[in-house]
Amino acid sequence: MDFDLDLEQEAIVSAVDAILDHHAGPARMRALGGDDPGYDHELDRVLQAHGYLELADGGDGLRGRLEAALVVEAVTARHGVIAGGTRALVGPVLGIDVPGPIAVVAAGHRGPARFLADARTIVVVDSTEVRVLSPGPGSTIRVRSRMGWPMGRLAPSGAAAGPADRAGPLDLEGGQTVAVAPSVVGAWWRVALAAELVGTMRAALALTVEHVTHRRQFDKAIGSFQAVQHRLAECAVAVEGSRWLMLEAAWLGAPPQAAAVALTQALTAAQRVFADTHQFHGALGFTTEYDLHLATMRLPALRIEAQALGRPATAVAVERWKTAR
Amino acid sequence: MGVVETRRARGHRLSAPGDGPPDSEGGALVEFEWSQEDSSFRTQLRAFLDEELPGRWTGAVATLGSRENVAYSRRFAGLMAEHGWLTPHWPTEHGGHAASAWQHTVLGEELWSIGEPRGPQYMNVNWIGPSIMAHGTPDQQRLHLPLIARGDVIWCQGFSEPDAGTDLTSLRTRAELDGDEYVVNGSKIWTSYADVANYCYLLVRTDSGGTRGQGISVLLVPTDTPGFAIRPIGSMVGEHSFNELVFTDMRVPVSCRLGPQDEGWAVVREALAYERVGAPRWARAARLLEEVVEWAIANDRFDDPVSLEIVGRARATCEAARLLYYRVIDERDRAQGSSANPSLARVAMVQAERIVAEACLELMGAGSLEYASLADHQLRKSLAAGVAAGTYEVQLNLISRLHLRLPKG
Repeated sequence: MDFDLDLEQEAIVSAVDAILDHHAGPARMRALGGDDPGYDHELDRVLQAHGYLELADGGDGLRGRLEAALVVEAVTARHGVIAGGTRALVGPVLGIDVPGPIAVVAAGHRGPARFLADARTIVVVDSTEVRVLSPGPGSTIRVRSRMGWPMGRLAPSGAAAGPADRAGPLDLEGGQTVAVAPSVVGAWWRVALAAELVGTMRAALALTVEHVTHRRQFDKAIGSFQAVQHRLAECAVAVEGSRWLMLEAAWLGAPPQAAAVALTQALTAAQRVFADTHQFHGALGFTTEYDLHLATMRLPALRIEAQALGRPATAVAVERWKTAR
Repeated sequence: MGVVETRRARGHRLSAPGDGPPDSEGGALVEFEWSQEDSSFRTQLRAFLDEELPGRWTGAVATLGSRENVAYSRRFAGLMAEHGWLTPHWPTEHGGHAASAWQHTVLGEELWSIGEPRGPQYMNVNWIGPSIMAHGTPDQQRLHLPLIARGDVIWCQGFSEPDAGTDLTSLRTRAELDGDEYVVNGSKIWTSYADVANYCYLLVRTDSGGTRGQGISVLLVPTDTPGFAIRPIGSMVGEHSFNELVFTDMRVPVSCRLGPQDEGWAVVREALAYERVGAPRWARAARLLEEVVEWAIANDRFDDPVSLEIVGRARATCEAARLLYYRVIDERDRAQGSSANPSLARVAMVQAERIVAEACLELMGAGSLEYASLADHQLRKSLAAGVAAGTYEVQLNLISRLHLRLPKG
């Protein structure tokens, strides 16, 4: 057991942070469209150019997965608008090289999904196989949203330019079957989502800690009130616990149970962090001029995606107590 | 990856709020696996426990360490001592093997998860013994340490008073010096195992001047000292009974004082630092969850989606507590300074105890109502989790201050 990052891991995170200083953050997210941002191809390109989204490919097997998870966490902690989780953690297990951005959906998915309009590769997780699709021009369309991620959907078949609200079930039956079990892709998808949740929660919590430290009411910083302190402390426990579970799951190579545990805990934490970080900002928190919503509104979007393969907590119970029986 | 190399040369590190001070060597690789040595220690320990315990203890998790089983606890601790497993983390000159903090953790996990068959003795070996090593006179060490190392003695801790609980330094039990004896008057409360203990690690006030932390002394008192009265208090927690201690003109030789007079608060704080994170409650909660799921499967009660959901969440909460607990051990293993990590772990453990209680009630349904059912037991245990050895709210205060660095109230 060793919970300290080594020099190389620290170096990777510092280097990614240095890139994010220039290419990410709330101002960059606003430049991309704010809570309905366009895909950040520039950030994606810079991180790719330095190899930071492909750390999991190198080295001996599992080495690199923890580092990749740290990068995904760091990117979301700085409001990065890229499909980092799928590129860094799901892509490497597909067994074939696919171009990014990568969107992942469950078979039979209906409605909007993250990155679907920007994806050059769509990964479909079905019950018995995983398929990879390369959407052609006009086959996907943007969907308006204000959940902090670029949302898209497949264009209705035979009517690529038709109105979005008529879209039926996505036609995801085609594509190339890849030689990897759905459970493997599903588990890495869950780890990737946990990493994105943790990064996003850290952003929201850090902003809130700063706010309650400086905001004064009744001649005191509101962060000095115990009612505020205790709830933020509980948020911190939730985020720290989720973070280490996520890192452990990545380090272990995403065993299905560990992946489901990490995502379950991150979702529980996200509910708390969403409610409390907003509450302690008062009305300021729901102004669009202030940055909080750029992080918090991403949490429910991640939560929806996290349930694509069923409820993670149920998966924990099934993996632990039912699978073996 | 030129950037990586440049940064590596500078030795930058990830800084998350609440991280301890940087390790100047840079840590080794993050690792979530047990070493060969620790794993084999666990295997040996389990083999011993499997041989010693099964069949003898039904519902062991619930009752094994209880007051009623104290005779067994004495025998069990003696057996552990014979194997060198009672005080493996102690230094060799006091009969230990200078084992790593991780082996000590394995011991705690394995024993707590089956109900702590050492009973009250975990307290002796974890912090009372080390406190005597650090501050005891040669005579005190010669008397007490071998008794503790052999498992031949039970201690109780005389800390809380009717008007001094979480605010411990407001304690008022007085010890007046009279020649070479202290005359002690006052009372202590919530003292577990006092009725079976041989000695009491007693906090008294020897001087009422100065700040409240000053003027406190530690006395190592035999419980059969005249003037030491013990009154049992019924408890719904079920772990073990509480006691009230009343001291009336109890005369204690000065030679029983541990550490300097009036500076006992520093002695106690240091003693408790050995036990910053407390017992691995998550391990017990996780084990109990396994037992209740086994019960549910055997009774065809494990298919309801709501049950699966809460059981999954309970398992995840126990797992989070496990990693936050391990992080504290890792920190201690490197002898890093104080941090909020023990408090983060403790809060997570309380949450684990509580959600496991919820899961037990949900899964067992009417079965919960039976006397000493797993649900009945866990519900009670979870109540104590947020109170014993530092309340949940005090831990949250520490997290606010040390981890989030929020302004003082």
